[in-house]
Amino acid sequence: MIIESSNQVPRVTVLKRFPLPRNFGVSSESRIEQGRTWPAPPGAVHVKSFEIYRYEPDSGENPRLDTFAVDLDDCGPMVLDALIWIKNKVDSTLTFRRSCREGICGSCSMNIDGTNWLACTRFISDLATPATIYPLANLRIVKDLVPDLTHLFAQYAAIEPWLKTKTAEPERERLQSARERSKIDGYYECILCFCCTSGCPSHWWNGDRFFGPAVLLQAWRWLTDSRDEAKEERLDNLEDPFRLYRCHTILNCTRTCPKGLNPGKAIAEIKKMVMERRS
Amino acid sequence: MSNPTAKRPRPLAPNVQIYRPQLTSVLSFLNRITGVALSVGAIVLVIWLLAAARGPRTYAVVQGAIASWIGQFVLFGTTFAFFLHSVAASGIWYGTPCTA
Repeated sequence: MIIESSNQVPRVTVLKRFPLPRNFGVSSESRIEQGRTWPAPPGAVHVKSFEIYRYEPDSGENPRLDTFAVDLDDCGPMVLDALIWIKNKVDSTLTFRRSCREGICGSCSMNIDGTNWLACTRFISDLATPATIYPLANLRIVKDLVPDLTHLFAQYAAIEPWLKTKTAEPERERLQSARERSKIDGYYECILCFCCTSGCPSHWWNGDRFFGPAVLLQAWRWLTDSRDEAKEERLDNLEDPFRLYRCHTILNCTRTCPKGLNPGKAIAEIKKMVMERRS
Repeated sequence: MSNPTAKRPRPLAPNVQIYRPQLTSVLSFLNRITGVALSVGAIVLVIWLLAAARGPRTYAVVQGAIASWIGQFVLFGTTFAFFLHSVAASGIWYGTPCTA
């Protein structure tokens, strides 16, 4: 059960979901209802079924789970290819965000087979049958698989993710040694896909005030950048029972990061810096 | 301009209902649940000690309750919760280097 990297697909599935009712503790407008089953493509040999969360804001109905059958011979290898195939060949109203198709823009983050990942980097052959695709967990849904990320980006803006200096601007660059530059390795690569924040149970229960792993990882990126001179103010902003200390090292964030980053470690480093500042 | 139909609130995507139970989240939920169970067990322990301090008749009542099937089940459950809370959930987590 040693997990070496987050892109390790689990070989054994003991439980697909927690043993809770499907609509456990869900308010009436979020209850998921039975959806329609779309017809399989005629004459297809290799077919895989996908159960996809659908929500039509203008219809007045509750969200539902539609079942699609995808012809694997006609479709690319990634989950995003399957979604585009469904949109082209079966139901053109299926809505999802996508851009780069190579795992660098962070648009197509969604919950695939129970874990948050990018649709363009998840192979269809790694999925269960039927594969389940939900939008990012615990976010308000605009339509189908498109979540409302306004609050998450507002939390990101709250940590002031820019260089704050007191010394005068140098003529050319602000110099940094190679070792100082290596301190932000593993943190600057974040693509802000919010897979981690949306997979954090602590953010599920306290998302309105807890910053979440993505934002805290970026907060650490600025704290550890040697060119930044506002460390004290940044720590004062973070040192709050809700903003930082709702993290209980659940580490779902590190388990699910599609870029292989370690938000849990970044948060631990922030907590360490807070403690060192006190002594 | 008033809206003829009230704006329907956006639905919340399911979280714990569909998220895959992973080693990380399972250990964390276990830790929290056993913590709550242990606090109940601690109260039972205090009741037992108070009864012992009170006198033989009160002690006999409480001892009888604990010796019954339900009482033994509660005690066994408390011991199991102790094991999960200290060894399994916290011990594995904080005792081994789990982060890179």
